[in-house]
Amino acid sequence: MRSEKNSMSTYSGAFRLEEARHLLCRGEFAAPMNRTIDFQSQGLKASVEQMLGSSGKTVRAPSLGPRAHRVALRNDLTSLQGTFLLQAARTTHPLSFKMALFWHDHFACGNRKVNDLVAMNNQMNLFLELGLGSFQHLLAKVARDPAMLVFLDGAKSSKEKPNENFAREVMELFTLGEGHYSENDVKEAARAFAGWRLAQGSFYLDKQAQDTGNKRILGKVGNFDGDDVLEILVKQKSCSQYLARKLCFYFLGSLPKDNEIDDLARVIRQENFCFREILKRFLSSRLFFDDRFRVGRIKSPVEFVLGVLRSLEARFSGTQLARLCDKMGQSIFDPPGVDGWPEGRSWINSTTIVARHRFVHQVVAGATGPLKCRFALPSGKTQPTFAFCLLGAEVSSLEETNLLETILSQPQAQLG
Amino acid sequence: MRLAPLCFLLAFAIPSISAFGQSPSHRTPSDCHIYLEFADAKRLVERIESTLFAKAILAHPAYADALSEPGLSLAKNIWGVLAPYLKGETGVGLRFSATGPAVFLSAKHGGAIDLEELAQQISSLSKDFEITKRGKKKRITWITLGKGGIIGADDRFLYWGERPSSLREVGRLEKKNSMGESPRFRLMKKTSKKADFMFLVNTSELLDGESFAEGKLKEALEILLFQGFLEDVDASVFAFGYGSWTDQLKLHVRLMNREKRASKWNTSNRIRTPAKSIDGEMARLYFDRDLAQFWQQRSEIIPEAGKAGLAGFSQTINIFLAGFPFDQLMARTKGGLEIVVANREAIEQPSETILPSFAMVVDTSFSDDEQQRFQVAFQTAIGVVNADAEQTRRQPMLQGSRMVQGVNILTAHFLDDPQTKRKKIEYNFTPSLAFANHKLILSSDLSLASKLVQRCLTESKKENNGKKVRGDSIELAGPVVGKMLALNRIYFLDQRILDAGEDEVEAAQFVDGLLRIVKTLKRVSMRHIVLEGSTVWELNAQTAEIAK
Repeated sequence: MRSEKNSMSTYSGAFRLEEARHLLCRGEFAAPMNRTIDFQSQGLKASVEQMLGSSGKTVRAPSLGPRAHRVALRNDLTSLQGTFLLQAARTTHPLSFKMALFWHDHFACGNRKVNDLVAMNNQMNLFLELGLGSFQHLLAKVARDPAMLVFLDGAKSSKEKPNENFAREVMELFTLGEGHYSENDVKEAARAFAGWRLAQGSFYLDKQAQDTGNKRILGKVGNFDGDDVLEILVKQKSCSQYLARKLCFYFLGSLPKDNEIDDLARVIRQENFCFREILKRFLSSRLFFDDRFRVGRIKSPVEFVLGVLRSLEARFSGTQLARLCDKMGQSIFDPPGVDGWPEGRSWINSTTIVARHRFVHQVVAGATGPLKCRFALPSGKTQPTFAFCLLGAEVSSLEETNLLETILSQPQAQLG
Repeated sequence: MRLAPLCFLLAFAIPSISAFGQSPSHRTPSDCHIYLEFADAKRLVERIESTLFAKAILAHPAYADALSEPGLSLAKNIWGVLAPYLKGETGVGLRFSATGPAVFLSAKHGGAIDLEELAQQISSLSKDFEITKRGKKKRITWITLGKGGIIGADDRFLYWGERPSSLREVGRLEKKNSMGESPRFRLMKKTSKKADFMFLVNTSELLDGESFAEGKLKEALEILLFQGFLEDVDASVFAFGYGSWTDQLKLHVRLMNREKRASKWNTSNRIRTPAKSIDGEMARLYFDRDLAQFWQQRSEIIPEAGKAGLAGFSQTINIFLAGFPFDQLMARTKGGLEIVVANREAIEQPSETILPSFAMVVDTSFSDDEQQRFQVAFQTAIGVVNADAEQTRRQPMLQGSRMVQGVNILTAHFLDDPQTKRKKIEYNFTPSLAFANHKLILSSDLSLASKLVQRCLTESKKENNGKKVRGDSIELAGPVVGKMLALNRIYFLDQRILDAGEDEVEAAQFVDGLLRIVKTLKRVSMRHIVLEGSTVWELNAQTAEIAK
């Protein structure tokens, strides 16, 4: 039994519409009215299981499918972004897409350097497929991923000239975080990754370029190869703490106290880095439902547009969505740097808030415009519930669409 | 105030009695901006609606979407009510003002009209057509409908969409202020005998000082492509046209200019033998332009921003020509630019976007040395493309040649690489260059270049035989275009889903509907001729047989 003070113990408070909305907004981009009501009625445990797709049925991992592949072959970034956004807006597994975006930010790879949308699309499919699975497995796959091998120059590393780029980022950004490794660890790890190559768009090991000598990494000595290094990194306590911090920031919007992060890190280790199990406990925890973290997280542009579309069950042009997200500061498949996108308040400035408003205007006015954006407002009685699910605040009526536009453009609507 | 509508109708109806004996144009005000006259509107529409082409359009989801617009829906409903009464000559005038358009309809039914029933039917369509007054005098019956009124006598009726400003206006109508008495109408009527329909547009009044041709670069491009058609619209006084639809649509439009205008960079409407179609031809565009003249006068028409780009282009071409002056080559282009679009012969990659092949055919008077210089430039360009192959991650191109009836075609193709998956995005591109019978042929595809070489050689033997044409022309073969579009169906579906946010079923309905429309168009041709004082456009559209 854990102590009652453990922040990761199961939330035992009331599970009202407000809590169901909080769970859906953070886990699935938005809280559509009917789904929120369903969640409230079935309770926390069943809701979380439904979100994770673990309530009985075998869940097939989502993928962007053949359309995305065709678009990627045409090297059309906007269309690929649009395909991802449309699928995320319609998916029955929004949490998988939410986690795919988490990993896309965590293992940030940009097409500006990779210059290969087929590889970028395959990487996104990897995040969708394995995003709720084992972190070790995902890390091993990402390390061999063609887009990553190009982005962090891993494919250029040889025993004569080991490239430290991937070795540094795998420690600093993917597993341990700053201050938990030395410069010598980076150099030694780079030797272990030497010989990882790309041919015909696939990974292969060039044994001639491999460094088979002994390496000393984080206090361990041996003839380690790349996979051994990844295993060593994941076994470090700082890895679970680093991932706990990132998860908290992503789902809660700000960092909790150190002991609360330690609680989550412990869960990560206990669940052997399996994110389905980790999220099952995290999304049901006292920490997740703590008042400090309700309705205070600034949504990223992608979360914002998907939130509006999913809430209104509206449809929209995918290419237009991609362009709008770009104007709001988030161009998926092309993050600004190795450390992904800056989060929180940096999403909002005088330019991006106008772009957010323009998007809302296009959705609401789109019913009569060229985009033919379609959605149906619920009838009178259910409107207060609908408005509450949208905003997390009381609004008496949504009879006028311009009122809806005003509401969705409010600062509060940028938070989830 | 309440008597106003009745007064208007009385004022209008009485002087109009004598006008009832004349054609619909005599019952339409001459200051209408647009006037259309049909010999038998109902039969014409029935004939059009019976074609597979029209049926395909009516079945397309975009048509249903368009009808969801209240204005269009109302227009369709009004047509439904009026159609049974439009069996004879029918005239429709449109006058635009700040308060919106006003419609003037004059029709001959061919049988007795129950004006009350007609008015009730129209009135039931919109609040704007509310019946306020009724009246009868001698043979004339009138009923006010909203802002306007309907007047009937024997088998004829009028709908007048706005009240006349004074009694004098109505009184004058049949004498000199009617459309039928306007010299423009007479010119239209004289030109358009045996037409199913004709129309007159008072462009100068419709534009009212607004300009179509704005922006210098746009103007330059527009002049190059359409010989200043938009400028012509700006300068025009009026336009008229006529058309018929039996087994095909024939449309003739003439834009009358205020002054005689010299044609721009055309070859003085050179009479030429029309080129023969080649196998798999989808479209052919012929621009009757003197490129040498255009190049010479470029500084006068291209704006400053464009000039820098043009100078850069000229310099780059000079490099490709190994120092040979590009200006000298341009001066040797005699005029007549043809663009041919054709179906691909062999398609290897059905999973990718399948583009048609394109070719440009230009009349030249190049010497042998100049032809060789151009061939060198082509080979240098391929070399430059190869230099970029590593950066753009694709295969390099291998240069080669093929002899066709004694003509050497220079060509290049991407190297095969069974290991790479990237070749597929190159669309079987085999750029080719040839000179045949003093014509420069530049094609995206070797097969098309070969066919054009054969055609150019045959043309020289048959010159001066067969019919002659002049001006610009566009020809389109619907079934070939449809076949090519069908090969790209999946691409269009993807794009529709992406751009319009539709689901798979909706996108398929839209795309397949569009393909059906294109396939029912057998052949479409359009000609554009610049004459002294007028510009003529002729459209000929042959659709698939009328549905039984």
